[in-house]
Amino acid sequence: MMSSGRMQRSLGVPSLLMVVLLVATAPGHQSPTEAPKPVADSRPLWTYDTGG
Amino acid sequence: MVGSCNGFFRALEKKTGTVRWSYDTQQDGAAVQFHTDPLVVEDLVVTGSDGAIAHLYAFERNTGKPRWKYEVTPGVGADVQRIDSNIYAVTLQDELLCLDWKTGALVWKFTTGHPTDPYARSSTPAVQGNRIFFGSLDGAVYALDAHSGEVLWKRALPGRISTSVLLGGGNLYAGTSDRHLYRLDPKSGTVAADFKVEEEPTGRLLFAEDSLVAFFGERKLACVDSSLSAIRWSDTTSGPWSSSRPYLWDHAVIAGNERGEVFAFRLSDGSRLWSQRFDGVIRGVGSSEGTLYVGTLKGKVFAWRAGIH
Repeated sequence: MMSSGRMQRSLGVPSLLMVVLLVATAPGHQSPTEAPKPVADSRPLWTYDTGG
Repeated sequence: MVGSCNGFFRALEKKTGTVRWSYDTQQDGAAVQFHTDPLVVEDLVVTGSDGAIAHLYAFERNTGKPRWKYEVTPGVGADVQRIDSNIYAVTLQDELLCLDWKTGALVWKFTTGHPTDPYARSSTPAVQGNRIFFGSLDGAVYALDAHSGEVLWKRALPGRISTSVLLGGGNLYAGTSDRHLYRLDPKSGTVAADFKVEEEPTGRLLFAEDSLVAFFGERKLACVDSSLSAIRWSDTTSGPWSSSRPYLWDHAVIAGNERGEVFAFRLSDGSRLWSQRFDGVIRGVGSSEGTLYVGTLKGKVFAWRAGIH
């Protein structure tokens, strides 16, 4: 299974990755789950697939 | 260090993800799984495993060569701790093992005698001075002399222990299945605070800056003051939390869910700092020098630098 592992460098923005910024919420209150906004570079430095 | 569900334990280069070494547990009779955070002890990496033929492994950090292994079938699913020359592990059969970390030789073993529950999750122990604390499947918190294994005190709690036990600010904390958080005196086991919460606290606890952070039920993450008198903040996720614990990274609490989302909450007030979506159910999270490492149930590891952190 080790041989099936692969290491890849990300040269573009993977479609499944998205960085988001969410609205700050006052202490003691629950934060609602909100639609994320992309705000920054979302590329991983690297990814590695362990195979499972 | 990355342990995966296909039986491999690997060391990856932090900057590139290149495999430094790899160990296939299949050679020991069965491919096991890894559900604990490894413990680095000088030149060794010690980790528990669980499965058909499970071991505690001590790998040499630089080569991955196993220095020793100790069979613990059905396994160890809680983090290993260390005091001086010994390491301590709680097995899925509710035993507390004390081994010499250099040789893997058994020093002593404590068994509660509680019937094994195949679905029960063992609780990560805590260490302080010459004492080790652990939450047993029998619903009690134990304090033992770390060198002799002698029971110093036992505190039976009304519910099953549903979290790790954790030391912080001179207190010992534990959560139970009947929706309570407890603050105990580590010296005597006396209950100093009993805090009723809305949902069952689960998994491993986090103590940071006079706060206790825990998962409550499937979807809530909450921060409680260290005296256990009030919830400072809480946040509910759209998918069940799946990371093995809440993590602390640069004054932020990091947690991931089954939808592949990783969130960072400001520890002081719970405000959301950022979130990031990955491909797969989030499991392990690690960090080093500004980089976050995220492992998923699919087996992928991502190294990521939070752009707005």
